[in-house]
This record gives sequence, structure tokens and C-alpha cells, in this order.
Amino acid sequence: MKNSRITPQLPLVRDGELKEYSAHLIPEGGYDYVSRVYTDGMLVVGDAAMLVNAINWEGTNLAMTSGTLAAETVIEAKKRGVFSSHTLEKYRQRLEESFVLKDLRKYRNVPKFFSNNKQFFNLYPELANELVYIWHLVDGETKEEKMRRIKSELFKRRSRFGLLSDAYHLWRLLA
Amino acid sequence: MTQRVISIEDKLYRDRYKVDEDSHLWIKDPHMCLKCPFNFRCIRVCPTDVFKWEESKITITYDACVECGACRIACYDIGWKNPNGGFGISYKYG
Repeated sequence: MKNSRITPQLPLVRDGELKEYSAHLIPEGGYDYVSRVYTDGMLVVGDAAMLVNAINWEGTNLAMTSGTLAAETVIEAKKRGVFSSHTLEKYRQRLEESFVLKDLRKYRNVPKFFSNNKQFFNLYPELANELVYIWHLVDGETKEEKMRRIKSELFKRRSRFGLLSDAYHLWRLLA
Repeated sequence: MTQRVISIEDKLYRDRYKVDEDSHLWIKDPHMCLKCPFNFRCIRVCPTDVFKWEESKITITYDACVECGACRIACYDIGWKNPNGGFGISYKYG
């Protein structure tokens, strides 16, 4: 990793200067782990408030939108001159009404599903790799024979029922 | 056009830390490292050279950690928690 393009040894932009060498864990708890986003005199935005839509690789847009909504709430509070949690509660409401929490609510069961079904991170990527290898290997086998080998390999590693069940659950979660 | 290679030390020099006394990284079972099943993935995966193989054990320079979590995925023998509140890396630019 340290020698890869992710963390380049050379500046990517000419005369570019590295200001800071940083990395950050992204919280992917989803809707059920969005904690209280407001208290007296404070609002929490972005990934600090768990506003990350991991399954769609989104987060920046949620951070920006939550920032806007927070600002609107603060402007309202400033007009009234009250920054109690009672006033700032409106921020949570705004989040719920926007795409931010609507989206997160839609995918609320996704994090739990994936943490209980590790085959999506181990078995399936491995299988995809191996099956594509078989398919494209030039070894004199006909495509028909290859297809047979792929099928037998696939069902050896994961039962038909398991595959169907995974497909069904994915559909239910994401559609 | 000449380009200067940036070493990891150069990169880390841009970062600011508040180092805790206790490590937030640890090896759960040091015996496992002796017959590491991952071919020392932790050493290769860490972007800040936190892990080193020294005198038949993995040493952890936790004060250079940028808290990326790569080692946590690379090896289940590595214990990982966020540093205590206020400690660890503190980013100036987010």
C-alpha cells in the first residue's frame, strides 16, 4: 500500500506540496447508529454524526447537506436568540425530512446484514476471481466444458439454496 | 522535470500527534507472528511503517499511526481501538 498509487511517493501535481499525510476510518453503522445530533449549543454534522451511506459510497454529499441544514437551524436559533437543545431539535427533523436520513433509513438493515454474512467479503470475491480465471484461461477446453467446471466449482463452494437466499436478501435490502 | 521522492518520515513530519502513554494497537498472540499465515501483511499494508519485524517479534511504533485501520483488516491477531479521547493524530486540514 505504501508503494501504491494510493499513497504516492511523488507529488501528483507539479510543484504540488504535501500539507498533511492523513487517513481516516469511516463509520458505517447506518441509520440505527446515528446518535443524538444535537444538544445545548451544539450540532453534529457529517460522518461525526454517522451520516454515511456506505452501500452507495456516499458521504460527502450527506456532510454538505447536513452542514447546510445545521446552518439553517442555527440562523433560526440566532433570530430567536435561543440555542437550547429544544430549539436545535429542528435540525434532526430537517435531516429526517431530507434525503439524508430518508436514504439512511432505507438502507438501515444493510450494515447488520453484511456483518452477519461474511461470504460477501470473502467467498464471493474469491469466486469471482477464480471463475473469471477459468473462463479466460486458454487451455483447449471448450466454453461448454468451462461452464460445467464453473458451475460445479460454484455449487461446491456455496449451495444453491445459499446462493438463492443471498440473492433474495440482497434484492430485499437494496431494491 | 525533477521530482523529489517523499519518504514516509517526510510525510509524517507534516502531521501532528498527541501521543498517549498506552498503545491503542497491540498483538493479541505474539506466538502467532512466528508462523504468520499472512506473510507479514501488517508490515506491507501500514502506510506509516508502524509495524516492524525485530528480534523475532513484531514491534509497534503506535505513535506514528494515522488511524487508517488497514492493519485491523489485514490481520485478526492485531488488536485495534481508537486512541483515548484527545490523543492520537490531530489533523489540521481535516
